[in-house]
Amino acid sequence: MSRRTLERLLFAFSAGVLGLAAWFWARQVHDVIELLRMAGG
Amino acid sequence: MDLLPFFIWLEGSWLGDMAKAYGGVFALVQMLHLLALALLGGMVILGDLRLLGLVMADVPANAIIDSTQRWFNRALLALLASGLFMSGAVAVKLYYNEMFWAKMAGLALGIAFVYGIRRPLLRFDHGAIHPWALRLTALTSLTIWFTVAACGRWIGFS
Repeated sequence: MSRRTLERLLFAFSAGVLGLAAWFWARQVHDVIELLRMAGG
Repeated sequence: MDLLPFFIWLEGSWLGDMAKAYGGVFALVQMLHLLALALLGGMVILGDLRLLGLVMADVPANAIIDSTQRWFNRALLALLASGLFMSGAVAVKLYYNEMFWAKMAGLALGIAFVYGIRRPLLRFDHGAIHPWALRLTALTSLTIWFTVAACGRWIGFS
């Protein structure tokens, strides 16, 4: 594969992965906040 | 595709029996798993921080990437083998664990990224690669492997 093709693949793959990671970690933070809220009454 | 039959088979196999029966063997394999994790994590961090120009900037990036990739490969093999062994002891419990699946998804993405994009791309002269491509490679790699490691630890708490 050429360098340019790999760079394009990198940008597309990274956009997907970083978006997925952001969603995943945001969900975990949200769950922790909800737990703290429930624990706080 | 339902994987539950595979997990049930794995826990009932000789591998699962060995992992459950001999605590000392399990502990030894887990120790190897953690050492391999430290090695893989070290190689990822060293390589990616070099791509970001934050460490060992006086050493050519190609040399660091080549060396770290070799040890990364060995560590990954050790992790897969030891992980399979340990999974055998609690396979069905893992099947129902959300963080286990998050870790496996991250691992699959990580392997696809390293061997499908990162390694082929970094074989080119780094001077010819777009600087933002190098930074993005490092950032994506760090994100994936940090998430895999975190999910791995999280399994025990979920």
